[in-house]
Amino acid sequence: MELPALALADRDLDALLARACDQGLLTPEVAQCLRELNRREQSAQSWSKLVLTLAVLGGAACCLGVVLLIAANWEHLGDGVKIVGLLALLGGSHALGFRLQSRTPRTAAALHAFGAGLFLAGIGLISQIFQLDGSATNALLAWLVAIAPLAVLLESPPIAWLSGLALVLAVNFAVADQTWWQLLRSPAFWPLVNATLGTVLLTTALTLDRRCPVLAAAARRWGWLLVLVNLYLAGFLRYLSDPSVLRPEAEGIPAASWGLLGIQLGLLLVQAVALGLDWRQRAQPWLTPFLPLLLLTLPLVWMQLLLLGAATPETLPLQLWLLTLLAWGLWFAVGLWMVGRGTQGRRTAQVNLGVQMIGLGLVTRFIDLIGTQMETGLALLATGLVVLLTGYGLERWRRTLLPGGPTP
Amino acid sequence: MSRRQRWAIAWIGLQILALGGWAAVEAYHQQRGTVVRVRTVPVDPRDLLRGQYLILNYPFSRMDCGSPRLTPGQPVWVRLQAQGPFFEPDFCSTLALTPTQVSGTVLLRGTVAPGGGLRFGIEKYFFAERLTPPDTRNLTVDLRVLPGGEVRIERLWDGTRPWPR
Repeated sequence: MELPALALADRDLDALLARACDQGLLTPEVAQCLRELNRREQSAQSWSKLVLTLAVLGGAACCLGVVLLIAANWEHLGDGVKIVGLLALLGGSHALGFRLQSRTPRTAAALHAFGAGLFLAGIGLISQIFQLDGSATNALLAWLVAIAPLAVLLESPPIAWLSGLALVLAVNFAVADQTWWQLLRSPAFWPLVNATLGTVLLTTALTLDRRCPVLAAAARRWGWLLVLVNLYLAGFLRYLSDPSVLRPEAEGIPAASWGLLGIQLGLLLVQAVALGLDWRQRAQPWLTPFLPLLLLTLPLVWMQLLLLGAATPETLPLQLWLLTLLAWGLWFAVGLWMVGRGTQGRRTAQVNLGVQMIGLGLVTRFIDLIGTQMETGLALLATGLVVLLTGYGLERWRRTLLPGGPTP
Repeated sequence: MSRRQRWAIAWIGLQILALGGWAAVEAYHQQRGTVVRVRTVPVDPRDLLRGQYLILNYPFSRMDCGSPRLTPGQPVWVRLQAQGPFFEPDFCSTLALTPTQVSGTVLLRGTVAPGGGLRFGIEKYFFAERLTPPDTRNLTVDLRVLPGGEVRIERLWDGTRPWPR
């Protein structure tokens, strides 16, 4: 559950070097050299990220471009030309990636990611040429099987991220292909499935950390994304749970939902134990076990969602509010944990994410709660002021926590 | 070149072989089996996600297979019988049927669709973006039925003319 470490801020480094010079550990010349080195490191880090972002965006645009160009010239290109052309492009992009590996590794990574994307395009192309109307889940699983080993072999973060995307899409298409999820009378099942998948990915990341750090990092990012997005959405589900869809003849809550809840709870317990065992080895351990404890309350949110299926018209409003309060409370608690843990471990990304979570929660909840007055200009004005003031307050708070770092 | 890179190159080669091999198998399927013409009822001229598609319904997509509780994904077999220029649904079963050489009949293998009805993987027909959708009132379909009961769309007919031309 770690995020990238914080680069040493100039002010902190200056203070550290001054103390080292005072104690005679360093000469002023060496201290100056270290300052220069730190500046260069910071610059190189930000430059690398920019290059990787541009390269990956370029690769994705090229992949979509190829698909659209083939589609636009569908009747002018023979079937063989389309297939051979795409396969040649797939092989060619990887070949160029290998060639550029030593000189420009980030561009090479983007070319490999382009090739990984072309595999899915190939599945789509062959399906369309031969008019095969197969299952999207199978296509996505085939894509996952094809590219996940490549992510490991090439140690490629973009391909690992694409593998996560393939898995998430495959699971969601598989759920959409089923009809039994429609048995639920609340929209609980979809976020429950995705939150469970997120928990599975977070647990997988724990086990993959040492064996395959690239896949572990991607699994962790996707896991957090799924858990947090679905927790955020749970705060709004009371709008979607229309009491009129409650059916008196309902047979109760499908066992599948409770099964998912059990899986989620079990995995979170595994994480809590794993982190607990690792607890004493950490430099600042007090926050470490706090997250699993927080996440253990997450199933309570989904349990409340599932209980909506058994609600009566009288108890439904209360249950909906209970669900909303649980989701909101957990959202803010996780945000605060991120800030606290990030500050302790000097992890900029974690602090930024926590601050953004709290900011988003504050603004959204404000709009959420005054929703019935939104038609008045006064309410819009108040909303604008709250947004501005929240941004101002968050910026000041964040700068207090991490002086010198980039503003989120 | 490191050992990992050599494995990666081998894996990419396998990917290309897999896609190329799949295309070759489908091309081979186009040369086998029996071609039958069936009636169809296009229900939607466009799929917003993937572009120009005809969504095709067939008389045999809504057959009653006799079993009171069909579960999505359950295999089904449908027999079509030649009646004039078309093959019409004749019999449906959830039990695996052995394809026979009875003249004038073919067996299709499908599955129970999640929303009810039967699914054979021939429910969508892709066509190029610039083409105008055909007049759906007179649309019929040539299906290529492979020996194992698998089925592929061979061609669409707009009245007496193939479509797209």
